[in-house]
Amino acid sequence: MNEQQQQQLQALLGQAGLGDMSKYFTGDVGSLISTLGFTNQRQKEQFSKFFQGFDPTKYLQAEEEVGARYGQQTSMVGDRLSDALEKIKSQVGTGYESLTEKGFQTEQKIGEMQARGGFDKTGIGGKVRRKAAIGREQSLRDILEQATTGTGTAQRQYASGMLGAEKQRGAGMGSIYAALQSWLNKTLGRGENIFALDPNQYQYTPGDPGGGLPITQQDKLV
Amino acid sequence: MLEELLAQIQAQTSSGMSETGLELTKTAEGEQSALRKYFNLIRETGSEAETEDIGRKRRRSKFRLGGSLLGAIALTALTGGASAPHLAARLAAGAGGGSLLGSKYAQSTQPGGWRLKGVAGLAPTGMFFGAGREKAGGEARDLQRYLTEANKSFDEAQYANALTDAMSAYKLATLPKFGNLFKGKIPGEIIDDVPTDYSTEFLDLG
Repeated sequence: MNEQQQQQLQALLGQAGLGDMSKYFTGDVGSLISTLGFTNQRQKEQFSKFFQGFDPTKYLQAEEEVGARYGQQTSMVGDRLSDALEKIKSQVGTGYESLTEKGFQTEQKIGEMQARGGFDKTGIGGKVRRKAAIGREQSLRDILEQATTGTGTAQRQYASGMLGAEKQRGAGMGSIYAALQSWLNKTLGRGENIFALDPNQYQYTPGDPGGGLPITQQDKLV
Repeated sequence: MLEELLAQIQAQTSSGMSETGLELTKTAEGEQSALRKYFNLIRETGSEAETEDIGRKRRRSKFRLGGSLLGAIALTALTGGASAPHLAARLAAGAGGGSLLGSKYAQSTQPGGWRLKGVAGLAPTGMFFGAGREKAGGEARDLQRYLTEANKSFDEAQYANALTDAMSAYKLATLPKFGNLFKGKIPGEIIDDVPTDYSTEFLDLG
């Protein structure tokens, strides 16, 4: 485990709430066995086959994967929002232009009718102009309302997308934390199992059934 | 893929732990079984030693009895018979010597050797069951001590027995009616060897 991995692992363990347990997350089995309380050199040698050193590579890869996936998802959600806002902006622009064009055409027609004469006397020109203005105002209000609704929808979709991305990130990180916890539980459980088996601390010599005075050769010849 | 990585982590941890767990169970079971067998061996050796001890003592008793009788008769005959002086002392010496020789012979010809054998084979060693091993060690040492003491006392007892037999023979020979036992069975007149006052006593009793 290099320095960078070590730092990343420490950060990951801290996030998982296992910062205090970081001493167990080591690739050195001998050190792990010592930390578990088996300090005798012989025990270290004997018990090393019952433990696995911790390899952070896959955990860190998984964390990176979660980060990358979250980045992709938030980016997609952001892009979708931008697209939606752009579309609304475009729709508003087009609608406004259309209204301006319609107003211009209405004014042109009124102008033509006035030029033919007699139009102003009846006051129809003014009425038509007012009606057209009301119509344009209504259309503009509709366009703005649609734009507001569209923006709201896009924002809701954005918030929902972000929430989904957060959820997925949380689920991913949760799985990594659970895997770390599982490894720790299994390792500590193994330590418990060995302690329950009343491990010896003595250096055995052939013929010594354990502890105390060994049976001497003389005794055997009796 | 994240799911793939998580599955790999899980697989790696589970399979590794299962494998080492199996190794641990196998080792612990093996050690426990060996220790149990060792306890049984200690018990069996103790029981066998007790039986052998009784057997060798019984066998020695026979040779001892035969030896002391033959010794007493032979020495008495070789040293002038029942009529010669100091019959009691000669009988005692013959019985004691014969007893010792009989015991020695019984000891030297004991099938499989006269010494009680200790626990055969080495005690199982291992990494677990420290208290159990200490207990096994204690029991094995107790047995060894018992066997050593039993062998020592068996070996030493033949001298004490010879002395006891000699004293018994002497006491028997000095009994007032002892002369009658050998009358007509051993060359020479035993009655002549009996002191006068005893003869008088015999006459009184007769």
